[in-house]
Amino acid sequence: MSDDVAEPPGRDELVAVLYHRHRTELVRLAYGLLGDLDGAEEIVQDAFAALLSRWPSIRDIESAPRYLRAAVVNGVRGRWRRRRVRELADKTLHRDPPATETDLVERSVVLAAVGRLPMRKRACVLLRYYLDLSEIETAAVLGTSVGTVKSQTSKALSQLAGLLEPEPSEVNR
Amino acid sequence: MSNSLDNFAARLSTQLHESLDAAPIADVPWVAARPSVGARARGRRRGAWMRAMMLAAAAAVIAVVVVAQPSSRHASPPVTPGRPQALTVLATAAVGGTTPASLAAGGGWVFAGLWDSGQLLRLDPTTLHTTATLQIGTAGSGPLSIAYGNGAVWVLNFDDGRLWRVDPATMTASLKVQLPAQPSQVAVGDGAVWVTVCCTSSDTSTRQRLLRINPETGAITGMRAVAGDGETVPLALGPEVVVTSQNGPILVIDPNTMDVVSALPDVCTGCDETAGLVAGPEGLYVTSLSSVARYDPHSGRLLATSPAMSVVGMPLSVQSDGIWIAAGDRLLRLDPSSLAVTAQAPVAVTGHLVELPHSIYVSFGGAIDRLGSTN
Repeated sequence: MSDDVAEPPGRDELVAVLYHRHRTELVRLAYGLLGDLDGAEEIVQDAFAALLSRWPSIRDIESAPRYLRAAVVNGVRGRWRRRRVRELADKTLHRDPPATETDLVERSVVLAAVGRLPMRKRACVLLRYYLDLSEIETAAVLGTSVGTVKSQTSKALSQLAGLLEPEPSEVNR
Repeated sequence: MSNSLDNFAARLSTQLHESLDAAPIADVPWVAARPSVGARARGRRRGAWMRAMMLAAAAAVIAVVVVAQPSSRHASPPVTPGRPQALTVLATAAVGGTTPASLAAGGGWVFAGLWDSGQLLRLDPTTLHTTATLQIGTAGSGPLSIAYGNGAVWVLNFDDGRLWRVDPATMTASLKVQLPAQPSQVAVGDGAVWVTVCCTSSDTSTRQRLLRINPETGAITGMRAVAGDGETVPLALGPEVVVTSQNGPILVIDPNTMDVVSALPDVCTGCDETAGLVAGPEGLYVTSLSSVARYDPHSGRLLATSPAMSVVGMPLSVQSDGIWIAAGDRLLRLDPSSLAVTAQAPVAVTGHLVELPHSIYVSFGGAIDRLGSTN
């Protein structure tokens, strides 16, 4: 073989390409889901670490973005669940919850409204209307059915419309 | 979706882009972001990296303990009790699409329901080669949930809102049952086909129901309302019929009378979605915030809890050799009594899983794997 035949890119090169293409978008997705920019960056970092360690089980570079999105959503879910447990414990023990960077008043009105949705509806909204994924792609990322994505998204939109555009004449025309 | 919500969705998309695109994301170069370097440089606890380090530390502790044993008192080789058995991929089927296939096994075959192509596949259980295909629905709307029982494959067809009974030998539909609402999940046992439904195309409000269907005639012979407000209505068959929905109790149902035998409230406090749920001889298994818990189905008493893990939720299955669960980026087998981890395999994003003797089948977006032990 001649020397000018390039070797196919290896794992590190391909992950580097994915990082450059998707990292910012994933941090913004995680930020929209979690409301905490530092936490969002950590979750995305963890997602890429997981991608590196699980690379042999990734089918091809085309499926890697879906893996990363799912890893980010799952990472946010885990952190959000732990936060819920802490909040429940604080409530039970009559403690004042610590101030966090997630205070909704510090965020834009639309992100504050999205932050009031349950996690799955929040994920449906951001995957569909921020990342512009199809219902099928969204279902694949969330590991749920397309029917669930349809209904969760529909309910989430209704709730958001009530929060963001409460005038009946404008929303329910 | 109505025009007003369509218009609102367009405005929402614009607002989301304006808000999130303005977020001050620091530009972290790839080299600095790699887990080992990034963790040291930024001095933060990194989840995946820290977990790896903790595992390494735990392994080191175990090694020290083994070395410290007086060797002369134990002639047999050292053992590591509880060490999980590793599984490897023995065969793969590329099935196309991006949505993980629904899986069922029985009659000597594995069956895969493909949402993206609307097809039901019959696969050779060893090679995973496709041996027959049946078109169930349209592309992007077809087989939602499948199960094997009473000598047939049962398919919930989201496209026409019917339950299909498919002859596994000829791969032709021999019965179609119109369902009263949007299908959710199907299971077969106790001489009946059990289906959960929720909502209609024009009504996504919370009206979950459990249906009992005669497998010979297709007649709906029983119906039970299910409390909760989730569109997915998990159903599990074991010694009892078990059903639940988001924010609702887990109901244990008498298969004959369809009366509620017991209800387990608040098993997933803090969850915002329906828990993963399976039933087995040793109890009910429910995914909780970060673990799997085993409950007595009659008293509701907590019997065991698994080690902490990143639980995905729905891909949970009770099999002859243990409880299988997709946890984060691993597939784990748990001891059915203690819930200790007894086997594991690295996976990407798992959809559904099913087992035959000596093999477990796992679906991903676009592929199905057969996993097993090589020794």
